[in-house]
Amino acid sequence: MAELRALVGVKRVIDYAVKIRVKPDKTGVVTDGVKHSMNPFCEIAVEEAVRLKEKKLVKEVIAVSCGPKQCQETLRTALAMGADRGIHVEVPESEAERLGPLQVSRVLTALAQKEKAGLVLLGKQAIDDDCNQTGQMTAAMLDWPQGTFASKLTLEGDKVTVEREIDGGLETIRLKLPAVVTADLRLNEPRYATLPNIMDYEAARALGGHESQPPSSPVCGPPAFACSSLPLYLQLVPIGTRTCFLSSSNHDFPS
Amino acid sequence: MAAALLRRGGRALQGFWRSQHSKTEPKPEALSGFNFELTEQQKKFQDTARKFAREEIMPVAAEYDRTGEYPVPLIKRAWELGLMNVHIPESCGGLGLGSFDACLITEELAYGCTGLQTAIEGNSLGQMPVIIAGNEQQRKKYLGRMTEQPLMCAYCVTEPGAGSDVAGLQTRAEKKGNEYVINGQKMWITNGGKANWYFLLARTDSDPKAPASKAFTGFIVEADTPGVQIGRKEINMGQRCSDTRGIVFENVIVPKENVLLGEGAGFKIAMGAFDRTRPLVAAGAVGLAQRALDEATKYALERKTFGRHLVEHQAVSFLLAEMAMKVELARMAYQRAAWEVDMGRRNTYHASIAKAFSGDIANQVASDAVQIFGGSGFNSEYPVEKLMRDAKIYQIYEGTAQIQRLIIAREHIGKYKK
Repeated sequence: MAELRALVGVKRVIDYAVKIRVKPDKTGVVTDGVKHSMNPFCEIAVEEAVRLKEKKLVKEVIAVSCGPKQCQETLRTALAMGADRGIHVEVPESEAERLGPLQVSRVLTALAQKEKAGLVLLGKQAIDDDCNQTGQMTAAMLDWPQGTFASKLTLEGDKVTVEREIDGGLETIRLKLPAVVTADLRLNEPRYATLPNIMDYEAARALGGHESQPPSSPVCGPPAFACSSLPLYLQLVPIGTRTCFLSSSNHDFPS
Repeated sequence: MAAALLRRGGRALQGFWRSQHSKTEPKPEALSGFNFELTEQQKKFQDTARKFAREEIMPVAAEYDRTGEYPVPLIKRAWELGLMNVHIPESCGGLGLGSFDACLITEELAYGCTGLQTAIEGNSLGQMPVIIAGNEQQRKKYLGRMTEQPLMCAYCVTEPGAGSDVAGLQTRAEKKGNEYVINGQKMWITNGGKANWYFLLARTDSDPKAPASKAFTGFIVEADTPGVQIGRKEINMGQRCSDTRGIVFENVIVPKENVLLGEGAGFKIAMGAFDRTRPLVAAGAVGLAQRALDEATKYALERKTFGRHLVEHQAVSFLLAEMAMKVELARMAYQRAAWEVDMGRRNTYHASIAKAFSGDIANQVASDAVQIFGGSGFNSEYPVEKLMRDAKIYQIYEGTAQIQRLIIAREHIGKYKK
């Protein structure tokens, strides 16, 4: 549907290639100075959303990330891959440890409603905690159908057909939009950011979030995806024990 | 500084959003004190090149080396990702990157396969004379087409009888009305058989006493001009997938519009191109050396001898330490050389040091890597023998190791003479 908005959650995790080391005081894993990148399953989700946009089935791709300031890097990667907007839900460093699927799904629920998204695309799980909960919880909170472990996604009108990888093999289900889908490994092969796109993106960033026109002619290759603008919404999210809320006067949402 | 200003001026030509870009101030990192940090953009470039090299080049490099087949799919893919033709100015549809950014990309590509990196580098070298000395029409025509399709070009200077001795070139260009007629033979031309056009250096002044700085002219020659006879693909020791050929020019007619700058300016242009591309060649050698170091280290962590892993033997760990020293230093050398030319300064001294050093250490490190692998290192099933064969050319092309020493000595001693 040309009016469809896709909300894609992206998580900043320790890079998959890094050798993990346990902190000397055994309270966790060393994260200081360690290379972080976008969760590979989130990359697949972003790639799927961008492909749907290129097929003109999705109007806008909005990337969301919850966490401390460094999450903006992950959002930038999503934007360089072709997402239209990035929303950073800021969580102070001290609270970030307590941020889990429950809190993130509440945030995504609120954002999906605020942004009037018709499709929420997430990675099936994060490679640091392997929770595999956020997609399912978000669907439950929104009371939307869910297609998890998707290895194939087809949008047809107001329905989405999802082929899921389950223990017994493959299962095909059809969901009525709006829906939540979580991406599995074989859904697609994420694109690289091409150099022209990286430059367009950095140029837009240097202008401080002005809307940039896409280049009128292809630069060094097939037509670049639409240039991404970069208004980042920064909203503070103090996390209580069970609730999280966006401290903005414009809206309210469930606690 | 001048180069940064020139680049911004060049960028301001076309496109609404591009002109917006050009009005921003240069990044503070470029102008502040000594700094080893890469910018966000540079890190992203490096990431894309690295991903391409590790995921797409490395799995197929050995096969291309075995068959010697030109890696067309990889070149097309590199072109799509924007990893090729990075120096082409934005006014001609390119990225207009400086040498430093290009070096970062080159090192990553060379890590995957130096044969492919050389094929891509051949483009940069061929284009450089046009970028630095071409007029608007020449740039639009010959650089523009490179960004519209994945085309190759080549730098034709070396001859069967003259390599280092550029002043001894025999290829003649005689002016006849509005055209030049070119006769001669070129040899060891990278991309010779695949190029769409050549940058050619030929002698226009028939007076044997004329100084080199006035006797040669640079031309752009379309490869399909009648009279251009492309030789067979040469089978080389290493970088075997790169296309190297001899080319004969027999009464090849070139319009005077294709002369770069003017008659007699060729030598300066040809040498000026080297100042920009030598850091890139050095970066390629460092990429190869880094690969050799990584392979050797990984092997040494797995293989056991006398009851312990190879790394636990000091003889091996000392070898690895020396390899690491050489790679780190060579990297810093090319970075300095690239940075100097990007700042608009003459970088001959640093570029020659970088190229000489990297070429030498690439050979040493590759050879040491084979040593660490032992018997397996000698075998074609393991990656290091290819590295050793590929490394040798870095001491030869783009100025031999000996020529670099001549240049370094001249530059160094010249400082003391003042």
